[in-house]
Amino acid sequence: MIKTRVQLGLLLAVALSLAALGGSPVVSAAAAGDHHFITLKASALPSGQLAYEMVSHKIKSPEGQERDVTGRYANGPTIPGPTLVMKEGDTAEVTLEHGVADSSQPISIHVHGVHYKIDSDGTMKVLNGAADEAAFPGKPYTYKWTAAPGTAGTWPYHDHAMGNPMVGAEDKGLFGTLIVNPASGKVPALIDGKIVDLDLSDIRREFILWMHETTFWGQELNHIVKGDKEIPLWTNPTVGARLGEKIRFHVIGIGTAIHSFHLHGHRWIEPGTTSVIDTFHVTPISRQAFVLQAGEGVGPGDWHYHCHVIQHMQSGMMGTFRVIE
Amino acid sequence: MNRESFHTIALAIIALGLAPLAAYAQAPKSDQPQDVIISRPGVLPAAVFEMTDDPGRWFKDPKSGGSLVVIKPGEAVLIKIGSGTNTNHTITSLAWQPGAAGFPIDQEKPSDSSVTHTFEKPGLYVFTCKVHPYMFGAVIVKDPKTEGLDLGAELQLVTGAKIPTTSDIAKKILLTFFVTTTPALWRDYRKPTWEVKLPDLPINLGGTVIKLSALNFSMPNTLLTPQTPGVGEVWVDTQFEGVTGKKKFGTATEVDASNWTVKQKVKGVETNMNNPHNMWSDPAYKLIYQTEWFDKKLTTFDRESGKVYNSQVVGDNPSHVMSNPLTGTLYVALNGEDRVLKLAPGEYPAALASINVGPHSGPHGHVLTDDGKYMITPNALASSVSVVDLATEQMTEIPTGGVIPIAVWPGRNNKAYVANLLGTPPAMLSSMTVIDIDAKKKLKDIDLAADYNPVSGEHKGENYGLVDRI
Repeated sequence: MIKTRVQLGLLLAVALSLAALGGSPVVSAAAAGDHHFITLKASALPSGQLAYEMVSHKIKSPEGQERDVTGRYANGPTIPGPTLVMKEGDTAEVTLEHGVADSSQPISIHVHGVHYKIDSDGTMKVLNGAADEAAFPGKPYTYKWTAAPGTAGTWPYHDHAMGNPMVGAEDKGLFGTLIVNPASGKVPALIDGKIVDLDLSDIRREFILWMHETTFWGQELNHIVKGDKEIPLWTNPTVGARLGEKIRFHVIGIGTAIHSFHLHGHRWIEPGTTSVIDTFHVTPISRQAFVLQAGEGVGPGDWHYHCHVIQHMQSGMMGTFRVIE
Repeated sequence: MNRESFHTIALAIIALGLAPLAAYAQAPKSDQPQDVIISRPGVLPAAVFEMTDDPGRWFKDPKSGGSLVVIKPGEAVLIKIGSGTNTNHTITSLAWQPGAAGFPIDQEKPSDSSVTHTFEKPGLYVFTCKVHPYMFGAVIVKDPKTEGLDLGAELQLVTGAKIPTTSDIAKKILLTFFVTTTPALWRDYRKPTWEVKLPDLPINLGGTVIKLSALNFSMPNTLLTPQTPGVGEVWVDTQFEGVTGKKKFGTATEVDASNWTVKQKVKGVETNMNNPHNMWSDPAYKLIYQTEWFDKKLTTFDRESGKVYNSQVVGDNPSHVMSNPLTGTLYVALNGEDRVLKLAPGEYPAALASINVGPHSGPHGHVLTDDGKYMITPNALASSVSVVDLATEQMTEIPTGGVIPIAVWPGRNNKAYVANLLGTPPAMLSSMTVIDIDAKKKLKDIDLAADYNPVSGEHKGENYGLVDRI
């Protein structure tokens, strides 16, 4: 009997320690990640602005199960482009098709943050010395990314080839967001006045706001809808949530201007610090991702968000964070 | 281990394993996106203008490459200032539909701010920049129920006038817009005639439908050679000339006045000289000072050889440069700011001081009086004129009411004459303001279009156009 109890105790201890490794029902020893098969197309909106659109996104788990998440995305090109979500440990092969009708110029995807070899830099040979890593009409290009440990964060991706190969046409609308979630599944957040390690699974909605010249271009990544749903919100949108929901904002700059993002009625920590702020500067391609609780301590309302640079405010660079009961 | 214990252990492990799963399942998933999405999309513009420094294409539609977009009522246009231009601008209404919500559009001073506007009322809307007032972009809001491209029955002008679209002045504005924004239609004196041919598009003037091509005209290109040859040379800023080797436009051209041939061009390839606008010389005629109006620089080059000595940042949109006749000190007007920069002359001018000429003034074509006593600045963005006492650098700003005061020159009896590019509201389409320099006071406005009937086009005198030079 004693022998059995000791064994039971040992087994329970092991089980407990395994369960404590953060919420996943099946814990594998070396966290091998998913492999993503993504196809994007660069095309044009009716206004003539260029933008990326999702063609297909399939995810293959380490065990070999495949699921198709293409239904998550909006139809047609969007600004910002499709928001891609990976987690640390995942890999991806991203194929870009050239779909801009009256152009024979190369278009590419240059990504930030994740690991990739020189042939996936998304630049032209004149810059990388290796190859023209861009899509041409009828000739797609495939990039390989690894969301290696340490690459968690919100990263931009954008064109780096069209027009001037030194610069690309990112400011024409060819930009989008890659979110790499940490392997731990947790992010630090200021909730009810305390800094906690919040489970990403508690985050109901993510709002992606790009500060492009003097206009916000936005998107919602909704986790309440089964399978997730991306909703294009276009310019200076209303982003909405229910009181008490945990929301993650991603704010990224692009173009030539320097901005000062401010949200009324709320405050958050600069991720990785204990610094509590409600305004931060955004410069081209720099970004901040932060979590807050909608209406925390202040209640429901149409909470104003805007760039705090006076001329940008005067020109209407603003929107509403609508918090309802 | 016996079977019973095994079962207990197995259950324990399963229970522990399932516990986190239970937490995962806590967040209810919905199949109905409509209940769940609280966000509301903002405006998606149906058309876009990207502002550039390129001649004719200052408001550039990425789809057509042109400066005119046609949209439906309820659609929006985004006018963007980004990497296509090296400088700040204002986005200002030149003409719009009377009573249209949100019009006129304007900003106090130039910036990189874009404008997104949703248009409801059918008709023509023309935009410009107060710093560079020939940058034009136009939006036509086409009523789907009517025939042709709607210009509306009337146009409200920034001059204060409300004009029928069937009027002569409206015709002039349309022609000015199309010719200015279409480099292929610019007058080429190398050809025997100037042919302006517009597309055969139907345009609706508040009920009357005509073809745009009805505005076509042809004029002989007569070049005259003066009977008496000139002495010396004439330097012209050929501001819109494209040259290989640089992305921006503009050259400084030297014409030999003895035989009226082009002697030399200073192209500014190494410095990517951007829209050279105005020049001045030193008293020994050794150097030429050159401003870059769509940029921030003052360049100095050798008059004889064209060799560039120096190119330096002086401020936003340096428009004109002139020196004090007595001291030789340089004064550069900063059209995108509220000041004139004072520099020591020479191949490498050293900045000495800034003279403020009034809040959001945007001085354009200033002048220094012969006696070296005063500097007078026409303030393009502030409807005013400033007189600076050069000895004390005391400044007096005189409000004049003129729209885009752009050039000034002193006359006799201590008066100065200021050209207002777009007239003086409410009634003067084209005007000149007279000021008393010593008293620092506005005396009166001269209506240059007094003898011109804007509706019928009848005129008795010569001056019924836009005046930008004294």
